[in-house]
Amino acid sequence: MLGRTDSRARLFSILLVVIVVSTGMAARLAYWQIGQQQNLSQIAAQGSIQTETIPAQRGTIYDRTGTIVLAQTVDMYRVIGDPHDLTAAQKVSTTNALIGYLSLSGEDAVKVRSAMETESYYILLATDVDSDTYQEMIEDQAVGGLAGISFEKQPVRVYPQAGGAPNTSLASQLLGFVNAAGKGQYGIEQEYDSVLAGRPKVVQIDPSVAGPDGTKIIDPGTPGQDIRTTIDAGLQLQVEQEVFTAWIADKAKTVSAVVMDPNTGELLAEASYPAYDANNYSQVADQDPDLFNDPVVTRDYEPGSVFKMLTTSAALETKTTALTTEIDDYGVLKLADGQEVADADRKAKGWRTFAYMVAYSRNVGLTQVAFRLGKTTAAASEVLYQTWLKYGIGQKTGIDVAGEVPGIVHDPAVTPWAQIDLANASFGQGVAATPLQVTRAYAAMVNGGTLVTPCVVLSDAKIGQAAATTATPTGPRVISASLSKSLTGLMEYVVTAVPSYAERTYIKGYYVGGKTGTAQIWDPNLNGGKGGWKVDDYNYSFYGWVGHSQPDLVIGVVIFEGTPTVIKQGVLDMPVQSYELFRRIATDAVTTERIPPNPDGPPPPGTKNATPEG
Amino acid sequence: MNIFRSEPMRVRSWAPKAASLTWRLYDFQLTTYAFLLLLFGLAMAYSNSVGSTHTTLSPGSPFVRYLMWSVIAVVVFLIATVFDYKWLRTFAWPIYLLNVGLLIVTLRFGSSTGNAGTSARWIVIAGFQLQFSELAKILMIIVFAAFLASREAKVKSVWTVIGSIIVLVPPWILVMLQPDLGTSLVLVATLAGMLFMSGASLRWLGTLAAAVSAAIPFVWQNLHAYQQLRLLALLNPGQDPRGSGYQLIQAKAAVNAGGVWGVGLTNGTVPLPVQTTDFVWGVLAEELGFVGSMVVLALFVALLWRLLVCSWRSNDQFAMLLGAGLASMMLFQVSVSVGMVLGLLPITGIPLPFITYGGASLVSIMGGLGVLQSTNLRREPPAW
Repeated sequence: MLGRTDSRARLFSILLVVIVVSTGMAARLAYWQIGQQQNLSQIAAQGSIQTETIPAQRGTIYDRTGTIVLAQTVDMYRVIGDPHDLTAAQKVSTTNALIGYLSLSGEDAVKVRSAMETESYYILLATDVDSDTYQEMIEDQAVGGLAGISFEKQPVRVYPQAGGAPNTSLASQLLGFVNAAGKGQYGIEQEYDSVLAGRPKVVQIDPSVAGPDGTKIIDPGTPGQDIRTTIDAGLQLQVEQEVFTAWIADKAKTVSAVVMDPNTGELLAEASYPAYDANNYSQVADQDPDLFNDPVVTRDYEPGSVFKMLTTSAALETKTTALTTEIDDYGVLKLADGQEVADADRKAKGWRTFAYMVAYSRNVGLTQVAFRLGKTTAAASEVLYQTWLKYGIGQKTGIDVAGEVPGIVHDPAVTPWAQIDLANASFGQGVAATPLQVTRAYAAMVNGGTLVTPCVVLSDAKIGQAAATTATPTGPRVISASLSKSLTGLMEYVVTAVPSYAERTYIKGYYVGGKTGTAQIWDPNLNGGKGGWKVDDYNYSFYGWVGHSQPDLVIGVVIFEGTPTVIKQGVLDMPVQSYELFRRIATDAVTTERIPPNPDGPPPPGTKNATPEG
Repeated sequence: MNIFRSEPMRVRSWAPKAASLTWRLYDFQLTTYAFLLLLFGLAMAYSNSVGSTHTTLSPGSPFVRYLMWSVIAVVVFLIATVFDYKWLRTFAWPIYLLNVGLLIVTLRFGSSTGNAGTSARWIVIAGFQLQFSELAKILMIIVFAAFLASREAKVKSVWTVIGSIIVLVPPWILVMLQPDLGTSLVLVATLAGMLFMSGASLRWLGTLAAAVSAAIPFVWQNLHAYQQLRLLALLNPGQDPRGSGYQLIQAKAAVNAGGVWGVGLTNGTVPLPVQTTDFVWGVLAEELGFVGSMVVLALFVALLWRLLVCSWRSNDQFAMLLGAGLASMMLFQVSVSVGMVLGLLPITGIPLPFITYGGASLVSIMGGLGVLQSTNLRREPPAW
């Protein structure tokens, strides 16, 4: 009823607004859609639809029994505060309740208090809250408590087994750890990161669609797989304790040990000290990140006399020297170019068998054996070098842990070895190998001649099988079975013929064999930067085997930069010699691995002299 | 002052007269435009259904839901047309109470999955999200129309303005508490338009406008942070490209990508926030281009034209105000919803009538249009 005089005008004015508004919009549309030719879609961020990646639960790492957890991811919680919309009274009550739940005191409590005083929408109040406490707080919230508090799930990797030394977790260097970003670092955690981590769940969240319709699963993901290692947790703990003890007694820089099944290449234990607590990896990263490197696979050192077994292998294989061949030990051997090679005591022993030369670690004897490997120095060098390569020296072993180093070998075909180089090589100087490489080479010597690939993770097929079985080794054959037998026998001869070894390696009911090594340490900083041999510190190693009637386990131990005690002029001793450490670990290992004692085992030292075969 | 003075019961205008309803008075144009807009709404719902989140049409997809709501809306439209609108004036007071009651229920039991922080906007009944604030817009038009019609004789008085504000305040506060800035602005704009059309004193309306302007700083303080950010982003979209300004940049890119003919229905690629609701115009402009946008815009203008014509022809103040209210509301919603995508107005969550995917909005608007057709059918023959 537009009777009023101004109603018609008012209606028209509204119509005018409609026309003005629609004309404005049409103009704007024309300008944007037709006028502006530049493609604005380039400036458009293609990301309103957000893709969220939810990490899968990381797999658990077990020991070889599958019952002992070495590493596990548990859900912990972060506590987040949103004090912005809280009243002063709410802030106080929430803060007090929170401090109670988290049992905070002192500085921590003050921090939470001041954080809750802010006007923040999002402030981190606490981390690593366990699920029990979280449950309590959630229940409190359900009845109206803890206003302005929310929780975020925070997966935390825990290493529940304590190691054999204070402030370490079991097999820390072997396992590695998981960093804050959820990425496996070092060791098994890094090597098997993709297996353990699984495939994350990927969802696309479209904020324009309300409710569950807005979330679309792009990739359901797969949970991380569990891993069962070859490590025997019980033995690992014992080895760690032995290693730690030796480290203290010998005032060593590092002590490492590895226990391997020579037939399968499985590591039953491998430990070094200093190690670390993987639960506290960030602190370690600040203080001494070098601890993360596992010496067993990353520290290549001049192995010294333990390489005499490799020279022996070459000599017996080329039949250039037999174990019974007598060699004249001069004590000091002058080489053509004026350089000299000397035994540790520089004393001449006269004509002795090759086996004696190995047992008593006579450098002069081994040098002569090496020289006989070929007609010329070059030919002999090539034979020795090829023997090393056959045994896997200078190459990564292929063990399934991250960070392995290949060691250092010099190819004589590239840089010809001088006589002194060949002489040094015959007793393991001028070459660098990791403890694991040498252990593997020894395994090939005693397992019938097969170079196995070391491993720390049990394949599915092997789960349930006992360790130290007489499984047929798989891998390339590097020496004949008969040569393997000879070398095994020689190692047994070494530890029985030399009284000091015999006394300290004898294990009742078990056969043992092995070879010691005492290597000088080259320090490039000595002599004003020219470099020189360290005077008092040596790298002591022992590689050997133990078994019921044949080698069941191969054990390598290295005492890096141990400090010897001077017994008398020229006679050094160590509180824990490398072969003593070997015996301790071997004794633990045969017990833990239930290798039965042999009633017809070797007699105690001093009752009978063994003779080497060949 | 009897705000809700009842009309005497007019039983004779109910069923007996229905047979002799003068269908030549029915505004077929209005219905045609509304149904064409409904089809565009269906098209956009379809586009959003086969977009990124749903590869195939599922029963829960926007398209299927929109289709279902359309059926309900058409039924409501027809019922409202047949129903004698004068009863609405009679029951204006109970309608008002019902409205406030529904808003209180929403506030107490409502939920929201929106990205606007904690807000209570929906009541979920039998799996359907019901946004009562949409219904409130239409119900308030009826209430305002009844009130202003009752003030016809003394319309120039300041009490007309003050009285209508008193009526507005309770539902307005309830909507703000949700908080739903968009709907509260629609309520204010609708009332302003209706007051203007009722013939209220321009002097008092001007005074009111000045008072509201003066209150803006105070209101600003009480806006939620995200609401403040959206307003600030309008002034400088480039400032925060991942936040509020990001929405504007995306919107501009989407409109630009459309070009003259558009990229085709469902082919839109520029990601837009809340593209089924607040930013539906951006999707429409990209997929249907300038031509499609102009067609839809023209349909809105035509619909508004018919609403004003219906008002114009009406010889009942209540009926005239119903048309004026619907026109004000729709003008405001279209202006803001399209204008914000085009960067002309701040971003507020105001649905674009018909096109925005929302059952309550669609049913409410169709109901309102049905009421308007009801006034057409029951118009006294023109005096001239």
